[in-house]
Amino acid sequence: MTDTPCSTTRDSRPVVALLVPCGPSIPVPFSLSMDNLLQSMRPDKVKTHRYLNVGRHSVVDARITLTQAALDTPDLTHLMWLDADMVNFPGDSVLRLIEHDLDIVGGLCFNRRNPYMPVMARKQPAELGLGPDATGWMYDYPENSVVEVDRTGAAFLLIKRHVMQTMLDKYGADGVWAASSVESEDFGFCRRAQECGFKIHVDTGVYVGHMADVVVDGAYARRNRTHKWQPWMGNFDRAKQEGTPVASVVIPTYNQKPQYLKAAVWSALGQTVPVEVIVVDDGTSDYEILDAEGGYFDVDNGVRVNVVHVNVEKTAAKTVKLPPGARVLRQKNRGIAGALNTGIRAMATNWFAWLSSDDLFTPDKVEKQLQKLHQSDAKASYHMYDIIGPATGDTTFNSAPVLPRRWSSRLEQRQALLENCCINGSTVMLHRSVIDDMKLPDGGFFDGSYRWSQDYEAWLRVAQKYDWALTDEPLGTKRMDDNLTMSINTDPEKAKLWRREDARLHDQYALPRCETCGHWL
Amino acid sequence: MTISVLILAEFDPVSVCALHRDAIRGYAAAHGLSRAIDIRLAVATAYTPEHRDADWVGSYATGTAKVVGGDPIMDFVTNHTDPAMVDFAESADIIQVCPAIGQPWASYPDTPPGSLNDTPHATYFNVQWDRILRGKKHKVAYFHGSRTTWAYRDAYARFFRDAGYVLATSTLDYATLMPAAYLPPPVSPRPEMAGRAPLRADDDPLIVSHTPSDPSNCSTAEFLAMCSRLGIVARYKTMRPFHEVMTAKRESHAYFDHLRGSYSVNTLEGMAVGCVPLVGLTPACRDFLATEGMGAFPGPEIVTASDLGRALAGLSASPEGTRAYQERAHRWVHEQYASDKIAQRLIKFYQGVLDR
Repeated sequence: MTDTPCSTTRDSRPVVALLVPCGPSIPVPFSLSMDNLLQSMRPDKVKTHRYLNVGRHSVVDARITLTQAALDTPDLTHLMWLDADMVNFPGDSVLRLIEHDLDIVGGLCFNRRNPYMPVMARKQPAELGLGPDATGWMYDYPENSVVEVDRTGAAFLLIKRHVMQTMLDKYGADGVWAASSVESEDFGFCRRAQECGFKIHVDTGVYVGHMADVVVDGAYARRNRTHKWQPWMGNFDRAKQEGTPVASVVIPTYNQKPQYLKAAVWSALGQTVPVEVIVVDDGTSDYEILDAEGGYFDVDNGVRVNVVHVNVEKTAAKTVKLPPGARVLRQKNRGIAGALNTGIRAMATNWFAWLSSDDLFTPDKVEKQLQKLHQSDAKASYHMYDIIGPATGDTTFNSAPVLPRRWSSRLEQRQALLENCCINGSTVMLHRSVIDDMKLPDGGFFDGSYRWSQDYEAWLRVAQKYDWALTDEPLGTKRMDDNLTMSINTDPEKAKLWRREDARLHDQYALPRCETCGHWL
Repeated sequence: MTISVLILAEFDPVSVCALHRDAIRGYAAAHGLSRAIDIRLAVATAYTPEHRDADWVGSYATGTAKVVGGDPIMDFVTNHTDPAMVDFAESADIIQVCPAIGQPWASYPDTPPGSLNDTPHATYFNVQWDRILRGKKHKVAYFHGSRTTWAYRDAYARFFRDAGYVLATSTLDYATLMPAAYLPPPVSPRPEMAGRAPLRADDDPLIVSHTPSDPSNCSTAEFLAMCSRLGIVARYKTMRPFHEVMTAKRESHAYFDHLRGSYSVNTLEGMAVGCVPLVGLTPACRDFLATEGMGAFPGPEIVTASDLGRALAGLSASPEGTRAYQERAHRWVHEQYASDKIAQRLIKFYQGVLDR
């Protein structure tokens, strides 16, 4: 006897338990949304079991009961949690979550009260000194993406069976969903899941409504949020106590006025958090730049050079000695891109900050910008700055230029950047992972084939894949004193070359335009 | 004649009073006056190791000190039972208390000043101390500025004057407005004030340090914005250890204190290592220095924020001017706030108290 194909082929459909912890009664809007969901579930794609726990019990008890019921289900592959105050979830949302094939993945829900936090959080970096379990809400999440998070709610959450089984074996039924005065049962679940080695994701394209007087979803949250909750702002206490650098400030320099160079170095060294300061001397010929020990690292030959001047009086005027704490790397002239790439290669921290050798940081620039970066979960950031005029004794205070407050999509971001390079190099901070991810085939991050627009090109390259976050306050000073912009404006030959570079750059990154109206497509 | 003085202090004023005591002892020893003045310090509530340098440290003596995180944090002390100290207190010519910090009404700025009248002389000491204080003919209330005492300074002044105290202070603002005798801490020679900021070279950018404990009360935001807009390097530290703060001062050409009309110990420390003092000083404070025989204040004239902006711009544009101010400030503070000079001022003050 031979089996029919139907009986011999193993049923490969996922088997999902829909688990609904619920109070004494089931809200009607939830029932309607659930009905919509069930009607959209294609039986040929997924097999479902439904478990509802209605009663006057705590949510923890309801979850424990439902977990045990689900795991008793034969062939179960997934547990899908749906809280009874969730509504308006798209019909295909469960299938979409299943298709991600992730251990734990949820839809995007929002807290019901202002500031309507997206219920997903990231652990705060250790350098903030907030303790190992401190987390922050991820307000600036990328749209329509699958994002790895450290914590999320269980209101609309898909968990693979083996995950739950592993956790049950380790913590027991009560332990898996245990809550405390400082940790809700779902955040506790996420922490324990991570302890077991599982990753947690949220699909920010699966919007789930949260029922209150109105239905709170992403659109409602954005429209009505009056502030962002910032209870987890770090103060970098640990880094300050231990003196551990939290960022690397790279200062490329070539024949800069010594006073400006020293000011830049002092402003980097005087940060309110410990930073590493790397001065890359790109072949300065007007004078010799030395570190506090009287030497420098020769990049081209890979050796430390200690300079001994025989005739101190004669050479003193030609030497600029930098304060303790600044490393000096010296190389043959390779242009700004080459100097920056050298500095990046020498970085010992994860955050890159560029400071032009004639610009200044405010003392709290790195601390404030890093806090914003950590909070928004962005990895690329820039800020506003003050401009000071030529050093003619004019002390007029200049206001910072107005930059776009926020770009709503990557496309808009790229368009804005293409129209105007509003990101000044001395305001940028980038995470090492972005630099590694977006580096050029030659291994460098800044493109040395551009003489003046290497920064613009790099920002556009980053904008293809990452969001640029703006820290909306002036955290630095840019001198308009005989700098590059001034020289391009006054030298026709340079202006011509610069225009040529600009055209090349637009060719490289331009978006198609509508032939009729000229707008970006 | 021998003058015996007992100083009862707690928290911040302890440090200043310990410096006073040591200055007087040093001066007396150097001038053969060691029998002429006997000054001792008792600490009610302390929180730093340096407070152990007091002659009597309340809760250490009674064994009730708690040590938290390596620093001694003392409980509220009510039992000064060291018999030697009590004997000294009974016989001392003068008892000096340091009001405000640590006292109940000072901890709660919202408490109406009227409640002062209901409070015993020095609530942090027990009944025995209250009895001794009430019975003393010569008493000094020494004010070491704080925001809470500043808010109620008129009420404090009235309360202590009515109770027979002579008022003295460590800060210029109380000295001019309370008014009270000006008894600042000595600055020179002190090991922690050693070292010197470099004189600004012609190709040096202007570096200005600013180290407020409370940035919201020290025009910090305005100062940082001005530096940013003038291209001046600001060295800013808040709530950092003392040695770190002094290092920042030693690496600067100027020091900005605040715009509250007088200067704090921060300005003196800055000048001691050779920084140009940038501080909002009222004309009354400047005049006070002159009438006290201390000469002209060696910093730019600043009262308002725009004065500060002008001073910063002026210094930034002139390395030579910066150097001149640096030299003048260094010289002035080491002359006017020298330990011997402060000791003489203190001895003269205590003699004046006895002569009342």
